[in-house]
Amino acid sequence: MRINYFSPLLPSQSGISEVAEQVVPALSQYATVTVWTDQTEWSQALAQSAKIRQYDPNDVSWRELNDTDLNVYHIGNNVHFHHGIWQISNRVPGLVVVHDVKLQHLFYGITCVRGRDGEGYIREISRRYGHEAGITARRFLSGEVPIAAVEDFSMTEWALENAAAVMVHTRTAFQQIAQADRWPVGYQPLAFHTPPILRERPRQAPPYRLVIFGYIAYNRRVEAVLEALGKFAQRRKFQLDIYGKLDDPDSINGCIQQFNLKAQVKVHGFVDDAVLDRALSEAHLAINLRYPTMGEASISQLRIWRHALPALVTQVGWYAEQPEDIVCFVRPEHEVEDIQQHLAALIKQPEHFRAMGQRGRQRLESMHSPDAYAQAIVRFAAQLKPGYQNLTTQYWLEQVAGIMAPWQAGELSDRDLDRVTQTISWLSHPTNQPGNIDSITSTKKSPR
Amino acid sequence: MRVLALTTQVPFVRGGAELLAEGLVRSIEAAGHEAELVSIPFKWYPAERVLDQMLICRLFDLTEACGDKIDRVIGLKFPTYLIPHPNKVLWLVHQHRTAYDLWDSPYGDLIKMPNGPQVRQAITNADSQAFNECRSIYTIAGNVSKRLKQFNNVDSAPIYSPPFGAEDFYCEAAEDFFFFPSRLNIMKRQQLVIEALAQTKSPVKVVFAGKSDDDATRNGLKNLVRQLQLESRVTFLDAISETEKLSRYAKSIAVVYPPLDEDYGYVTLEAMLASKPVITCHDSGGSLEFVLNETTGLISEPTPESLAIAMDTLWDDRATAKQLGQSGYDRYMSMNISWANVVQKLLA
Repeated sequence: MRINYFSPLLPSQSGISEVAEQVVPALSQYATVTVWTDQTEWSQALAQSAKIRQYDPNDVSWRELNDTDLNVYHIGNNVHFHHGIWQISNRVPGLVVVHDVKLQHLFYGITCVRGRDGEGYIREISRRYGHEAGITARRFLSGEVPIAAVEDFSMTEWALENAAAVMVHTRTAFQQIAQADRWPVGYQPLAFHTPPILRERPRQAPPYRLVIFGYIAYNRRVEAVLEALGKFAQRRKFQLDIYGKLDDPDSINGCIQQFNLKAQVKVHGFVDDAVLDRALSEAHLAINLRYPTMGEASISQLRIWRHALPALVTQVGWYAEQPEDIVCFVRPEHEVEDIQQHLAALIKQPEHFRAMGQRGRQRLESMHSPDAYAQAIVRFAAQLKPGYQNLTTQYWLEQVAGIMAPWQAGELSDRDLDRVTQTISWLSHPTNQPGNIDSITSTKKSPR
Repeated sequence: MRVLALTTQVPFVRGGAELLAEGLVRSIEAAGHEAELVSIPFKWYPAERVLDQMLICRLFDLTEACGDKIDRVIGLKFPTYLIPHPNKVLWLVHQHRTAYDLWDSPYGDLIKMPNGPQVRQAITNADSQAFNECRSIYTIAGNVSKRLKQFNNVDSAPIYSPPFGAEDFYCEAAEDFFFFPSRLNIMKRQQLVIEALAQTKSPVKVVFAGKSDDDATRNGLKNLVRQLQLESRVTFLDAISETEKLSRYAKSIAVVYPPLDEDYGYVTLEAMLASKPVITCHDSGGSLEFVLNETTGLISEPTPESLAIAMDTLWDDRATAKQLGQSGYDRYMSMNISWANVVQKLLA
């Protein structure tokens, strides 16, 4: 079996590149894998287990991509990492792995930032979500409203127009995409390697070390964490370390000053993996809030669990799908209150939190293995092999709709439309339509 | 009976398939029926154009015209045989070969196009359904039947048809040239013949006759002739009249015809009618149904070296060439190849 794998790769600062680092070696046990990248450098470790090919989205050997068993495309929100992958996926069908269900940021980046086509962006939003949505998009472009105002126009279908099948990492995403009843869709928990823990967890006594890490944008809710900590009577029992690039350092530093937290909070900036791993191994609690969520499964959360570290998460999206005895939920509308309650509980029952972290690690080991992830891809490849008819059906439907629309389609007789429908049905040979990927899950109900 | 023959036409490209379609219509009329040719312009790139034309064909209604029933349609080429009709007979010239036998060959273009695999799949799906609709399935040659069985598991019988103006061919004393009449096309492998010429021991000459499918092919061949310094031994005639064609056949030593896996190949039959031997290759397809090695022609390996040996052999031994040509003529006459036979089977 031959598989082409399109993904951001290390050293790019994308969580998805870490997934590639772990999944590709596992996948190579089952298939001959070629990893395609438009980056100029990549992980040498990865090159040990797969052939790595550089591509230019505008000059690709389609033959190589066509003459394979499966093309796998990892699509997320970062235009820098995913624009090229999306371009290829539009020309050669394959398995699209959706990391963020809301892909507004990606398509804003493609159309407005890279394409400098604001009107095209508004047109696309209007076409897909209606006139009012188009007005909102225009207001966003003129700076009247923040990007949060358009994030719910997810644009996911745009990413999947040429998908032969879809793989997602969250149950919510599964239900959402399955509802469209357009693609075979499978749910597979995100993969993350779990090496043995080398360090013992620190003593459960103050000062308790809290940690936040990753790309710190507005949706990481750091301001709310600082407010909760600042207004918490026993705040001196905590030390908060923040690692990663800050999207808005002024806002964070302003909060630290406002709540007089200089002694409790240290902002480290971007650090390498070894430093971060040491910090995680020495921490008592991770704070991994997301609001709003883009529908992603959190690679950060898997990393937290790798260190058997308990965590606070927002009760939305994938985070809300986690069992209550493994994470501490923070309700979006009661952030400060909930964070303070959890901090109080940590002081009172540190062992309870320690056990929670251990259960998190067990969950990581049982559900998120790279091998299981690789096997899911292989199953997709086997089951998709018979066909891509659904894509040609869609093409024909769009062609006919496009031709008929200017002919005042509303006045076409039912008989005419029936004839076209039957013709497309005949050409599409529906008896051979690929179903959903049974061995993974079905679209009819949510996976358990 | 009112009969329509269904075919495609790449604008400004004309070859054996067009002659065959026209011959069919004439022969049906000669048998006392009404017949017309329905010819649809065909374009195969980008890959989505193929899907467009499949849909177009499937939407045609050829069951009647002006209130009068059309009794039968005869599908010749993809995608016209997708046109629905209750009395559809297939006389297959060839399928869309880049979706089948040529898919991953050096001549495959669909595999190099974005979205090629799903267009290929749409073609194979629709073909299978269309074949099920036909009341009987014939092909123009055993080679086409072989492919149909191999790729679609469909049984079919070949019906050979005579070349246009079969009764007009004649033979004269051989002059110093081999004749290669055919469109200049990569699949016909004029390039192989030129490369072979560079390796012949004798001063073999070849006359090519036929229009090029595109400028790039013509220019590429002419450049190759220049590079190999064969200008004095190669002649390109472009398109020629029927009279000149008959004359060139008649005066040649032999016909060189080494295409890659040809469907049928009127050239072989025309050579036999002109009592000329045919030099072809082991992978040339349709010609192998007629050429018997060292009896009606020579069959070489598809390499310049092997082809050069075959060309030297007949160039140097004109008596043998003449004898093989005569045997070819006799073989043709023994095969009962006639339009009457074609029409009788297709309208049965």
